[in-house]
Amino acid sequence: MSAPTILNRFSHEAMTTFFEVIIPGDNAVYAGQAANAAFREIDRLEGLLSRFDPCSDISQVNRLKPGQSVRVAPDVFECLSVAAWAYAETGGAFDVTVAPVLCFQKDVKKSATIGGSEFESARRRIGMRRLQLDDSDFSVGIRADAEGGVEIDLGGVGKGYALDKMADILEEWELANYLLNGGFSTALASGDGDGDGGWLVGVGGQWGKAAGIENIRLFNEALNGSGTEVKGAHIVDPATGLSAKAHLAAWSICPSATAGDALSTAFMIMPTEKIKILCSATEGTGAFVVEPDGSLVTVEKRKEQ
Amino acid sequence: MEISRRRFMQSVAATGTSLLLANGSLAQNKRTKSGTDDLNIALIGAGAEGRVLTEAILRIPGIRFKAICDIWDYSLNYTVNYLKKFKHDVKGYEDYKELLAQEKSLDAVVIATPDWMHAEHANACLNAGLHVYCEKEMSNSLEKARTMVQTARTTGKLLQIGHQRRSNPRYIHAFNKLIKEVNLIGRVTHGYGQWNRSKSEDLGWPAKYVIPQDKLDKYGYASMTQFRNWRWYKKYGGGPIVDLGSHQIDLFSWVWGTNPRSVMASGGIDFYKSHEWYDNVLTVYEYENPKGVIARAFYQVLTTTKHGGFYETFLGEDGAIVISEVAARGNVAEREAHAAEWDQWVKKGYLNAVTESVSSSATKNVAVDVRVTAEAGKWPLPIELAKPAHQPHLENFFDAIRSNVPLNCPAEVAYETAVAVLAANESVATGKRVDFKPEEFRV
Repeated sequence: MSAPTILNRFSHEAMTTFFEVIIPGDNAVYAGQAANAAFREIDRLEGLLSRFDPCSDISQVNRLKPGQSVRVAPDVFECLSVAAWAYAETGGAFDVTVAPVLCFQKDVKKSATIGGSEFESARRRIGMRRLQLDDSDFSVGIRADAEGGVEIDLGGVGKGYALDKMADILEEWELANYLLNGGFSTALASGDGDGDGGWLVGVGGQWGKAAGIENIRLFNEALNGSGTEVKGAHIVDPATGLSAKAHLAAWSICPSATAGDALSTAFMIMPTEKIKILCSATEGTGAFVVEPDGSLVTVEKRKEQ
Repeated sequence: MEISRRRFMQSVAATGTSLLLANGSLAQNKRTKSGTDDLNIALIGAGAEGRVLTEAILRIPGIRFKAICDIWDYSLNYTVNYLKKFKHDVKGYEDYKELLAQEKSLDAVVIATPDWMHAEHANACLNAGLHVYCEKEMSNSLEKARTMVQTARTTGKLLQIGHQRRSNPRYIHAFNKLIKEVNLIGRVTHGYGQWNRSKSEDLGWPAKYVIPQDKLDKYGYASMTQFRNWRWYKKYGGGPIVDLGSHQIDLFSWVWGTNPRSVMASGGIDFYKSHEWYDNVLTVYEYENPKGVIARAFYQVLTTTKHGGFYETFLGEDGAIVISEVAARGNVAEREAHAAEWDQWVKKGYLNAVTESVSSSATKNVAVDVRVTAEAGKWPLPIELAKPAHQPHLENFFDAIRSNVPLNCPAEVAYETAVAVLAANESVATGKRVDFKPEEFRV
């Protein structure tokens, strides 16, 4: 076994959560300066992505009327593009425009049959195809027929995006060995970590432990978790307006934290069979899901040729 | 072979973009290029502030970047590559003199270099016949700041200084409408402002992008540490009271319509022992308008606590206005209980309706609801800034080039602020009050 490595840990609050950069090695000053550069990147991104900041790009998109468009930062464009990919791949289970249907759980539960209700009209206001993207100048528009505009909330993808962009900064600083933590629900690992081929990361949470996974080894990939134990059943299925109950908890493994963040949310909604199909069609992507009976299903990453 | 994070991101983002591709339909909705209205600009100084300005300028129609200048290739390449993504045909320069010699199609230059270079850069650009938007502080030397005012005058070119609150529609509404036009809070007797931020380590740099010492020497920087942390060194900048305080102390003169008659300040290098500038400064400014009416303002900048963040308050006999560049930190008017009703200003659109009123929470079935204090209502300001904070000030600059719109912060106004703000450092250094004569504010 190699000599124990010093782990330099740095933390920062942003996006209403807690970010952490862990860099092994002797040069704590250099590691700290790099971590601070990465934290400044999160703050910059928050100013672009936050729906709570009226000056942000996302707020500007949310104010657009049908047929209008606005030029956004390439970062915002990229984040929306990955969200659109996840929207399509998950059959709409992951949808950053889901906000209008979030407040109907009680109503939907009360009436056995859905239709003609306020919920139905809210449901017509969601879906990423209401948006248009123009990569020639990074414009985001609202389709002319998308009455009511959109309400984008990047909460399900922004934290992962922040980690991917922090990784870009650390690589500029020629740091290849690091672990990034976004609010304990997203981790992005790069390099050899503890010297045993990656970073050993605790999966945590009551469901994972009960199902028999406590930690996994990450190598140049991200682990994203979604579950019911921290915030309760907070993920809403855009199709039904009800909280996701397909699984007790779900994790994605993915080369990108952005895509993985979106997928772990969708996995809470998607049936296991569809998760398997998605993973077999997507490079470097796997999943763990805890079924309602407490059993664990592991979806391996597909073997590359 | 495993797929890399970057390649995976590019691949899925490209797929996502293609799913929602507009196929040119967005272009029809965009303002068509008018040709004559387009302005060609250069940016000198592509560091952190330069990037913020670039991001805002990219949102303004009809502005074309032609050239970027920075002595650090890390910053230079970042911004050149960024602008190329937007199909701006930009060329990078290390030396601004070469930029001015080569680029003959420019209309204006935006300057975001360290303060000590502002005068040299701005004067050269003005003398080359270009309009200039220059970041504040004008300079860390009043002598150099004066040359900027003079050069703008002799060349007849526009010189806007980056005190961007001067163009912020929320501040314009609060000061010009609420305080001055309708006298909402009566006589404004006091002002308060602060900018507190958490302690932070010195900025570093990626090892592979270190600037060789001979190049640092050529451009006047003692070391890479000083180059990256220039704001803390006397040669290059004015310290936190100038970097941050200048934005807010500028507002006192705007509200009271006069420059201060004195300042006394306390501060020191109490925390960061390797720095040259004071890491905390607490100031008291006195104002006296031509009618002899006195007002006083307290301002502090702290760099070891973020408590309270950054905001400004104006306190009058009939109420107070709390405002901040970030609306969540301040965007309300508070009425004194004895003041005339403000409902009329809600009807006229000057204020939004009060968020919480005493009567609505009163106990039922009693004649008088007795409590420790009756909280005065908070009346939100009705104006929202829906774009990056620097954008309106840049728009004002470009509008001034295109038409006869006056600049919101011409060199003369910014010079007055520089006189007031730089004196706070002088007061700290001498331990004495600095008294101003009105003519000191004029060039």
